[in-house]
Amino acid sequence: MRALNTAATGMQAQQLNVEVIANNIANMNTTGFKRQRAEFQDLLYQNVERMGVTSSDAGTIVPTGVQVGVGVKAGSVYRVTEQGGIIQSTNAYDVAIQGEGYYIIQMPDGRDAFTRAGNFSLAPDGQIVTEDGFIVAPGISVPQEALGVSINREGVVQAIMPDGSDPQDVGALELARFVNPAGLEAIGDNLFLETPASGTANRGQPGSVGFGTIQQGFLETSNVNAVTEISALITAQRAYEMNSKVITTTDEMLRTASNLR
Amino acid sequence: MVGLSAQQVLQQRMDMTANNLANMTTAGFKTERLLTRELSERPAAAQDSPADIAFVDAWTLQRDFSTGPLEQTGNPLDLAIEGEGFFVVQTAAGEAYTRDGRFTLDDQGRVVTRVGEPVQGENGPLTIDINAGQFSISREGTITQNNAQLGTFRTVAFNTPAALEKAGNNLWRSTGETPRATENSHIAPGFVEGSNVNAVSELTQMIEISRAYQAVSKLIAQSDELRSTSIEKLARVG
Repeated sequence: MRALNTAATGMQAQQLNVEVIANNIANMNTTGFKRQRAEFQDLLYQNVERMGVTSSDAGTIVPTGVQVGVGVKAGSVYRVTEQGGIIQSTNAYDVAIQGEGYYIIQMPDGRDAFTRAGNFSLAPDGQIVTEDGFIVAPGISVPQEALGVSINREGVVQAIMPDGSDPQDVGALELARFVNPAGLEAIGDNLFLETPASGTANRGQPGSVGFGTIQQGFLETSNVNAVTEISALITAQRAYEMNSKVITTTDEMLRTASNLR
Repeated sequence: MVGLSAQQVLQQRMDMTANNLANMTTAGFKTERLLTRELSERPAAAQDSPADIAFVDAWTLQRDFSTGPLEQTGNPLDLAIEGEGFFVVQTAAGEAYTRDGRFTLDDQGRVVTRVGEPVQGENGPLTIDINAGQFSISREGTITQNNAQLGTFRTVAFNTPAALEKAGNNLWRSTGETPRATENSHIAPGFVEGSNVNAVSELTQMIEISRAYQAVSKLIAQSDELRSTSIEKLARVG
């Protein structure tokens, strides 16, 4: 009986669904986290009676036929890149992106990674780095004697000097945009890598056309909505249960059949 | 043999119910039911044959094309069709149709399905240059960016949608009918159409099927017993 397998595909799909929801809820307080959504597609259909075939010599055709589906599969786990909330922080190196774009992070292995999490800090040598110590492109050094920094909406970093002179430009943050940000590959630590699906990074100045602006002293929260996730979790759990009922029922039918003799 | 035909059909109905339930969370999925018919056959007895025997036969599919629940997603390229109609997708095997409007952009900026097949506009594929600024999609399916219209999603409908063939991946194919333009339907941007499977009615279907299956099995067992006792008794007479 196909029903057994069909219900098994349904249970697998709902299991994946629950796993994705669990990850969303676990990352509810992760800076710059983007929630994900499991998306499903129906599997192939078996034609029992093909629609459109001739049913008599007079040329009449079967209008609808009979097709039996064999279940469901996970089509994709889609990342919803909607803007998260912006909350104030007291750290001068906390910078949120308001709008489109990703910070470019220079990984130790020479590759570029991308992130929405703007909770940066200073390395001992004065470089602006991520929490893991990776350099934020294009590499900005703040002088040791600076009292503080000011980062404007266009990402220009200015160091405030102790001698009361004018703030000194020390560089500007860069952003990258992608045609299909949902196609980026997540590698953990809030970082993403470019893939053929995302398209190549298009670098630019914050605030220019299409790019978001920088907000110093703010952080972007995750865009996970607890209520939505919990209601999705309930739906997924019920759907799992119902698919397991299909297995029980099919099993009962098979038992009835085998009890015939 | 009547019992056997009934059991085979009940199994197929069970398979279909299982598929409906498995696709409870598949976007744009449409519930299916198996309709059965009576096949009357005259038994092979030579004369004075009893009445015709009615077998059960899987006859045709009934599909419920009502719109599924619309769920808001906040993704500008998630589109749902309210009312009749399908989006047109260009696949390697020709045009296919879908109610699953979860689209995305590929690396060339084309609007594609999750499988990467381009979605058709009124004048060929649709392309959006995201670096040119924000875009919006209207109720009529027109993409507007910087006050310029980039194109309109093509939506088509069929006079007998039940004759469409399901091809998997949430796609449908035509089995002969040429699609026509949609009437009285519009696009809801930022929404996804859920599956229209009704869990309660599927579960009651399932109970009904399994009880019918048991009843038919009992029938088969009883007629088997009847036959064996009659053979026994006739043999004793002989």
